[in-house]
Amino acid sequence: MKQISLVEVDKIAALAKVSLTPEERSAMVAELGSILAYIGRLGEAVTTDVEPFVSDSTPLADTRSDRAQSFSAQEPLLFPERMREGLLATKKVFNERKKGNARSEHS
Amino acid sequence: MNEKKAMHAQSIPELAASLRDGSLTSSTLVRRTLDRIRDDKLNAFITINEKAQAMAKQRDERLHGGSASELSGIPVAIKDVLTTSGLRTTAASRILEEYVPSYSATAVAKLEAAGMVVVGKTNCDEFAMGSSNENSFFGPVKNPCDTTRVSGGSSGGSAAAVAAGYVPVALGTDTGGSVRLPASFCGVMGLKPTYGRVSRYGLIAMASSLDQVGIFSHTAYDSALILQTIAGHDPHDATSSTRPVEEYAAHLEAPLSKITIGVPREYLSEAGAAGALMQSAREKLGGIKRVSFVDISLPHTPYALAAYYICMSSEASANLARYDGIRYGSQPDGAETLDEWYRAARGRNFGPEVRRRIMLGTFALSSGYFDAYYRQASKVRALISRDFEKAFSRVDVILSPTSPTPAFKLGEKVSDPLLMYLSDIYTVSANLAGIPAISFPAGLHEDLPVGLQLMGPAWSETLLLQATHRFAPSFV
Repeated sequence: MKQISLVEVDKIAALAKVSLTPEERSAMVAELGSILAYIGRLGEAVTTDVEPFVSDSTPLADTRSDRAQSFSAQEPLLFPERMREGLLATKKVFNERKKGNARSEHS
Repeated sequence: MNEKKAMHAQSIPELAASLRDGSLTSSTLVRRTLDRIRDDKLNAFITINEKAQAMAKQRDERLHGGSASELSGIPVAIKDVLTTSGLRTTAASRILEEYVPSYSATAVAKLEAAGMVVVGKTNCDEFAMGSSNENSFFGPVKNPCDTTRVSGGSSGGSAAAVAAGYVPVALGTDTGGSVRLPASFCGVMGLKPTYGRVSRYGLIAMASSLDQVGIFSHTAYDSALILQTIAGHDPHDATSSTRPVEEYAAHLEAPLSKITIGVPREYLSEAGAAGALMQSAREKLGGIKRVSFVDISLPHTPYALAAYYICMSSEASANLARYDGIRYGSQPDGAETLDEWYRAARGRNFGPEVRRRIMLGTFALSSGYFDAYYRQASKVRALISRDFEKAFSRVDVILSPTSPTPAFKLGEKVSDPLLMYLSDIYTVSANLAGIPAISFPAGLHEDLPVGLQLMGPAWSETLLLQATHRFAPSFV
């Protein structure tokens, strides 16, 4: 069990797809550090030959058959002002920086 | 207590009787409820259901026709992490600020099918992550008993709405104590059923192996009535049980045979409010016929909170990966790549606690740390579950405080996440083991409500509700 560094906070934030301000980065080092220090007690539990938890009170019920079903409630999920030719328009997101080969808006 | 409050603080059977004998209509009841919610100073609601009045009118027609159920025409409030068709559902998050679902959660649909009128969506911690209801994008919920204090979280709005007498019952969700803790802080009952008893379909997921829909009420009867209405198998949730639903309300008055209460010695080290509460409980309940106490041990309790925060945050980091800011949420400026978009949108639209838990979960699941954290926590979870199995071979129910303290001051713990997490120390074990638990009001400590928690074996809701029905009057 370990403490956490600023470099590791940055790596985790990248993995988690979360941006942090400089103040938040510093605060996260202290906060995650204190939480992980508490969680460190998990290492003291003797778990030799113990299998990870699987709920035995609720065996999975039969699942539905794997077939397409019609979806009749599409209308409420659409933003009319952002629809273009039946597709949801977003700001450009698929271009790589400096390549400059994307359209300004696509669906 | 004014006339309106008195009416709304009535139990479901009292309101149902008035609706049936014609001395009250659902239209009047719902109108007064909406008036009170619009005047609410507690910040208990995020969205009011503007269609509630029309629904009440329909219920009145059924009531006149004599074909209505006991729940018909009665108002109910729904925590804003349960979807409601056509009614905004935000999870108290900026990222879902504009989300209007196209379907209702199964629990909500069942209440509406039984005739209840959803009057609004209650405030809560963002994505149900919190113990004080201070993590909502829509601001904190104040405690009706002392507005300088927190309502408890994460289902603080539902607890406050019932405690303030706006509605007789409300739905919440409980992942690590999010029904029981606010129930305790606000002086009402809070029931977390066995995992799988109530469908999670339409519950915006935080930690899927821990989340469960729960109930706030003033009486065990009302909880029983709501539970038997919302429980049962749902083809939309493979983890919902096919086990038959019992008639909890009908069994409530059945005479209890001898009942043995286990008191875990690991829960007794707390001084202060919790220690005083347990001493008082032993004195009061010990005087009831055929009730006996047995000291028991749940030896892995010291690891429960740590295991919970790893399991919960790991699942949360996966469940919340779907929120990319493309369809919902405030769109960021200046993002030049898809990755930058995701990071900026999630950084901007998620609050600090949600980001903290996503970070913790991402860390616990990351290469090199998975075995030490997530796998170890899952093993400890198995040991905690075994502790309960052993204990329930000796006792019928387990008694503990619901919270180490009564409601604390607004802002008192926001700068120390770990201190906040410790509020859940008595409640998380029931979620880890998947067993049912209920918090019921147990009087006051320094003028603030405190709650006692009863935990039972899986599927023992009938026993828990019977015991609560029998024990709660001792603390009035």
